[in-house]
Amino acid sequence: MDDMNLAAALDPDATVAARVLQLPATLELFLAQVQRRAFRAAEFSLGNADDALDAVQDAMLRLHQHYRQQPAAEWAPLFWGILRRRITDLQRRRKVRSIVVGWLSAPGAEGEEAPVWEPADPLADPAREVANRAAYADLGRALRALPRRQREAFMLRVLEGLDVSDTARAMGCSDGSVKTHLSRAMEALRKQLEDWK
Amino acid sequence: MNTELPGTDAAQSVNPNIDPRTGALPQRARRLHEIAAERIDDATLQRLRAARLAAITPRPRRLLPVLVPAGALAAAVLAMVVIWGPLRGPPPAPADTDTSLIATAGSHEVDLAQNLDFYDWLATQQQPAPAASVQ
Repeated sequence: MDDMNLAAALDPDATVAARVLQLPATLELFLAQVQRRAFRAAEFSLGNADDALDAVQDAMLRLHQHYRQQPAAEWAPLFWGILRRRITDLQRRRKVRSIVVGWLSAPGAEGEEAPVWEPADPLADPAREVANRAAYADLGRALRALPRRQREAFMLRVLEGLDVSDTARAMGCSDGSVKTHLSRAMEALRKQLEDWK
Repeated sequence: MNTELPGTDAAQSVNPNIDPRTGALPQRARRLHEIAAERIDDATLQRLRAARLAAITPRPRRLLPVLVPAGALAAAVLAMVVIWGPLRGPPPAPADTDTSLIATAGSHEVDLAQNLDFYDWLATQQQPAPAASVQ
């Protein structure tokens, strides 16, 4: 486990705070910092690694093409906004495809994959590793069960650590809507993840 | 009576103004997300790096968006010529090659061309002796 991973495991809040406060010097550095979490976030929403990679790649490309001249403080909400729209596009396309496929084949032929978490950390406690892996899978399922806007609010505000205004910009809505979506998301997740108490 | 303290999960579910990043569920979710982001398999990581490099590498201007409309326009013009050309009227009768040549040439040149044998024969004849001077 490298230093960053160790720090994240020991104090994830400190990692999030540091990430928000330290603005990257270049766009490439920003993309390097955000690529892993963006992939996991896209995977949460899409339930598929290939689609998640496509979404992240497209978001990187569009951010660089259209917004590289913007101040560094703008990159995070812009990037997450682009990624959010790309994920939505892919979900809609998949919905249409599933309808067509549903007409042509038996139901249940195309299922979503659970997020893959690997390789295992050799230094971690195996029992804890298994528990974390199961908890992460539960979180993924619970997030995918949320309405889209609630899921986006939770992921941007809680998992990614954006503030309310940046989350609102990324979601294309008001600050009040972000708070409402997030409040409902938290309520639904608490019901679905009762085992986490 | 609500006995939950501000900042706890239950309090957040009814009050959206409380920071949602505090509480057991958000903290655990965030920690799992951070760890999962660090634990990405090498193949996926390679693809992410390649995607990032592809995104930031300036690419040469693509000609496809220009060439495709230009090619389509050229094809449309060609199709119009092929379709509308014959409809504008019957094509002129094919002109006889010799006639057209004659038509383009001057009358003197035509005479010369028709009497080449004569001029050839004339060139081989001996020059007649000069006539005796009139005394």
